[in-house]
Amino acid sequence: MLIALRKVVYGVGFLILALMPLQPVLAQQPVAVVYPQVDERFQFIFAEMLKGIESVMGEPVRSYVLPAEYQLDDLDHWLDVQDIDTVIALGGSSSRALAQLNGLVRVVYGGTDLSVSRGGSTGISLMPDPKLLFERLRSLAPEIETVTVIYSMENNACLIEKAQQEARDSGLTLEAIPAGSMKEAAGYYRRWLKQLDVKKDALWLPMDRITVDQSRHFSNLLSQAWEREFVIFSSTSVHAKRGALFSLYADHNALGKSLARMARRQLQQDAGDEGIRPLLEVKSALNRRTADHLGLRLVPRQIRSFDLLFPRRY
Amino acid sequence: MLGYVPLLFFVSFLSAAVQAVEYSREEQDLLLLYGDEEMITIATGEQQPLSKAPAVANVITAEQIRRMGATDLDEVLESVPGLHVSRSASYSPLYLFRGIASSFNAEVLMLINGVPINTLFVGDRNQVWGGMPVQAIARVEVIRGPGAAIYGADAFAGVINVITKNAADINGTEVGLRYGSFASQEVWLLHGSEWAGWQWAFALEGSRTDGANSIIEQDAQSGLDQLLGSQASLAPGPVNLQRNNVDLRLELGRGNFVARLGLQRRTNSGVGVGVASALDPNGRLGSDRWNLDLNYHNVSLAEDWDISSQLSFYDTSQVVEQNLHLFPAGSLGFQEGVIGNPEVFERHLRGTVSASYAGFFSHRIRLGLGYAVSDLYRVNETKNFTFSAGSPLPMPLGGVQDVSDSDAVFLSEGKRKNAYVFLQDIWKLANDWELTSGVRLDDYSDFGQTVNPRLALVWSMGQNSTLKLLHGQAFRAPAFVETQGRNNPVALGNADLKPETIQTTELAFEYYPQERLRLSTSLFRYVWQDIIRFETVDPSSADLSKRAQNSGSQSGAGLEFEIDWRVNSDLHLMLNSAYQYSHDERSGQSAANAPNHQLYLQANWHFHPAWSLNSRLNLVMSRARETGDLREEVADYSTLDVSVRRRSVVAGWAVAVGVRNLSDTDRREPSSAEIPNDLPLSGRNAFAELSYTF
Repeated sequence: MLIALRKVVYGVGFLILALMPLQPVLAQQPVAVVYPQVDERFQFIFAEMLKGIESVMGEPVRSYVLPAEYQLDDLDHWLDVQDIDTVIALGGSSSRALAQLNGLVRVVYGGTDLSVSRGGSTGISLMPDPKLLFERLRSLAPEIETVTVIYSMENNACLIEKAQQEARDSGLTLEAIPAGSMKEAAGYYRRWLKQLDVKKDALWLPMDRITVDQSRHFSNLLSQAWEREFVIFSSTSVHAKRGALFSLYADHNALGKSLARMARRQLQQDAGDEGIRPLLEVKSALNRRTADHLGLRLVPRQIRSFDLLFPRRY
Repeated sequence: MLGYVPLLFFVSFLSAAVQAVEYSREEQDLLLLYGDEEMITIATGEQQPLSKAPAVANVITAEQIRRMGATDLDEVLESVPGLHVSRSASYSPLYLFRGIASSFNAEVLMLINGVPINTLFVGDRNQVWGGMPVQAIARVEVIRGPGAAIYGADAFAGVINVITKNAADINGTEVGLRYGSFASQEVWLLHGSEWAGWQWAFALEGSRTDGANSIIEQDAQSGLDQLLGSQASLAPGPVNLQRNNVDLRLELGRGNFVARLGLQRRTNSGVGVGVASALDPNGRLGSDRWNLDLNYHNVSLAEDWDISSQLSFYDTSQVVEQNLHLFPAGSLGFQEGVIGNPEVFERHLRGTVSASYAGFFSHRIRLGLGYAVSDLYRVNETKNFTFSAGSPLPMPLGGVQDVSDSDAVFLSEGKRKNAYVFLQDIWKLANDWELTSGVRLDDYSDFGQTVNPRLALVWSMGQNSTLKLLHGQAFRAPAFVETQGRNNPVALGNADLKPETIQTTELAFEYYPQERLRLSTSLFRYVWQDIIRFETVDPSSADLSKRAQNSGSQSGAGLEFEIDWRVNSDLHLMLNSAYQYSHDERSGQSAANAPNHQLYLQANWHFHPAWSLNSRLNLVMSRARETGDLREEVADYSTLDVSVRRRSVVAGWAVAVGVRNLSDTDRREPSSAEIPNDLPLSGRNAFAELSYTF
């Protein structure tokens, strides 16, 4: 009995292994995915997006792994040989490479450093939609009236423009302060800290390499927030883990699905550019310890509406 | 004697690893987005449920298990501070928490997906445990200290809850093969997907091994030979640890319901040193462990209410496949040897329902109740010996005879019913203060009622520091061998036993001096009372038989600390160390067999975008002997395990090779005096594996 069972187990395992090489040749979609070659720990991001894309396409899609030192001709040749109409570009380097191909194929961008734009391209930025951030803020801390954000024109001008409208719609006032450098941003943070009303003011940390320092600067802001009990929320997932009240981060699978649907629309003859929209496919993280410290009395329904809760250890 | 070779290896490994690999621009962008590498794993993984109560606990995730190169649950558990995995003479694991050691290790509750798997027979996880593979494990939650106010019986020295992977955890299909030393082979197939609104997960793991053939120099028969002038002992000879395993898990989820079916089948299992500590190369055991559970969880039935219930069935067996020789041929005048084949079959049916209400200001109340029927429904025994009254020496019975259902069997069949109710209140005293109070009342059909309270005060001292003060009481239900054992002169049952109890007080502190550095420490003190031991009823009489008795107490104190340091983007160091000083109140001597000091270092070095190297150094130190055992203290040991992995997450391939006990250290776990040179563990051994996910 055991020997027979063992043979079945081994047999099924080897059969699956043997059949695997057949899988890639099944795909004949005119859509392909280009994603960068990255460290295995970062590959989870693209693997999840790929799963989302394939679930919409209904079958495996062809993909091109872009090396760190890539040759544009190689990519061009591959797209040509594969007879690809539309490419989903995942990651910054893929987006930059495909942008250089000057319209030889239609591209749907899902890049890491994309700025939100109204036209010229089609894709989804990885910057969470401010509307979703403000909705969360209103739900968790309804007494907040003013949100301050210090941002760079270079990275976030269009997003902040959208955020102004979304803030008004949410009954909030957005004080958006542009800064050209980290030093300038630090000055604005100091000034804001001096004048803030901890009950009514909150600080939004956008995804911005110029105005949001990930290390010492952020730690200092968090310490101040703990001591003086004011709200910090963020567009960067790790910030909730480190002590911000909440943050939003990409739902990679859902993002992949949306990119695939965009790509399908692009396949149609008369499809125009849809612009780069902010990320709506988000998951959310809450720091319960910070919420408790701020005296926010959250009901179970509110807590359950978050995908991740910190601290994770107990 | 502690070997320094593993330590030197470890240090040289670290010195090589402190230089981080430089990230590409793409990777730097991703880091800006996610913050750190760990966050990517979290953000692309699944949510973890919250604990039911504050405790000193560790959670080891599937990703951590994969990184450490562990292939069995016991390797994972050894990494937990204050927990050492020792071995019984059958080489079943003994999970020793904080100095609490006993023959069957019944003071530790193990759950699989919240369902207890401790046996009614002796209170362990089954004498034919045979290990537990890790491919289907989503995470392991380990609570040090008592958890009886929530979990009930046996959540005493610690609680180990193994959570298996659901459809979202697997999310696709994984196949894998592993080959290793001792002719070990393992194959696994995992699948998780959603179909027509059903989330279903399937895991099949099959393995076989010859087991490490470590040599037992002298066994119990060697002592008898010396005494009686015979030459029957098979020592020196190898420990018998061969086995074939099949582990099957099926999970179906829809809406608020989750149903699980599982089987752990063990066949052709060797008996370690032997049932009576005398080598037995031909004895074979088997075990089937079936579980079926249905879970319901609803958070939207009404505002502020959270309702959950679980109905579970668990059937576990211990069967003899080939005659067990308690003593070998020629021993004590038995030409065929002393043969005894005990078989035990039991099933557990449990139902529990709990509701949590958060509608009171600053309070969250949880009320639960449950009922369990545990039935040791069949006891079989064939044997070729009997005992005359008061004598520990077996007498021939005239061939192997079936004594099942007769007065001569070793254990009575029987049932135990347990009804319980528990209440817990989590009270937010102030913004940074939370007090959890819990109490559970258990009513047992055989030994009556027991009430076990728990208090936990948690103070968020600052942005980077938390202090917890915990106090709890727990109980360990007497096992049936202790209440209903018979005809074995050294293990007679006593129906009047009380449960063992423990009172534990803990102080735990956690501190993040930097974002990438976590320090935590816990201080504890416990008093363990009414310890159940088999002891001679009246030492002055000629009757040498031993009966289970509530006998004596043990108290202990200690400290554990952990450092978790992400030195740079590629090097992750984890260090934990535990000290405990426990003493037997009756003899005044150090409590035996558990290490007074443990040190565990783990380094994970991601030395290439696709490669990682994991190194684990484990030091086990200072293990005292039982009172009256004149042997020297059990020798300390240190081992170094190393594994290297290459993985492509997108392409789905992963390969790994690992070497355990790299320096081939002679390491031993304490035995009874019948095996004078203790229980040898495996020497250097290696494995290689290949897996594919799609």
